[in-house]
Amino acid sequence: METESLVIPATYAALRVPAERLRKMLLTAHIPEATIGECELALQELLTNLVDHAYNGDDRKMITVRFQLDTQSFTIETVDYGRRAQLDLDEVGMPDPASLSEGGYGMALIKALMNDVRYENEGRRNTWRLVKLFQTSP
Amino acid sequence: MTIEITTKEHTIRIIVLALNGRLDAFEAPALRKVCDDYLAQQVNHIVFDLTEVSMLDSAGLAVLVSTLKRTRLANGDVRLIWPRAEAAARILKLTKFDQVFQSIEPSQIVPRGF
Repeated sequence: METESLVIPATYAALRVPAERLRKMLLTAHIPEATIGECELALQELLTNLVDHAYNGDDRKMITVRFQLDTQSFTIETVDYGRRAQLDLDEVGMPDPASLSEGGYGMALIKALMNDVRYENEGRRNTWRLVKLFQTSP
Repeated sequence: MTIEITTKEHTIRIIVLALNGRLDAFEAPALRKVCDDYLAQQVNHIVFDLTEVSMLDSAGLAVLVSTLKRTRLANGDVRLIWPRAEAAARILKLTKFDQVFQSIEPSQIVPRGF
């Protein structure tokens, strides 16, 4: 099992650092490009949500990002101390494209891209855990 | 008797925005600003050439959708030149915007693009 952890400021500019680490980690493990792209997009959507909604654009706040890779799966875990997420993951769905909505895609994309999506809140601590299983379709 | 000739010329400005790199939450505001500027100039036919876009997220998608809505309100439209990278095309398929945006080949921009 391989793990990696980093702490980034809650800014859009900083999101590229974990994205590059993710890509490097999965490329080294010879994970297919399509799977890497799916994990990268899910990570991007999750972190953008945290910047926008958990921390409301406050660039003094930090996000911890952890990756865990084994032979069967890849796990993305984030920890933040921002606003508690107010959503029911079971109710999240992709907006109707005909509505031309400009938002509301992030969490729906994460659910479509990953095999398991979990959120926990303990006091001020928010933890997101996204799991991608290899050789299966989400 | 002389013939009366009336000439009417219709000129449609078509702007092609060729993007290269990641179109994500960090870069999306710059693209939105460019689109805002053209829309303010009454340019209502915009082609996003996504050929060289390596990654597209929902923030980038939001700029494309916003521009589509605004051009259509002005009787214009948006066309996409499809990204080469699967990482960029994936979000268009997952959100089903591949069925909303009309995609074209670069050779179709003029005159059949609109």
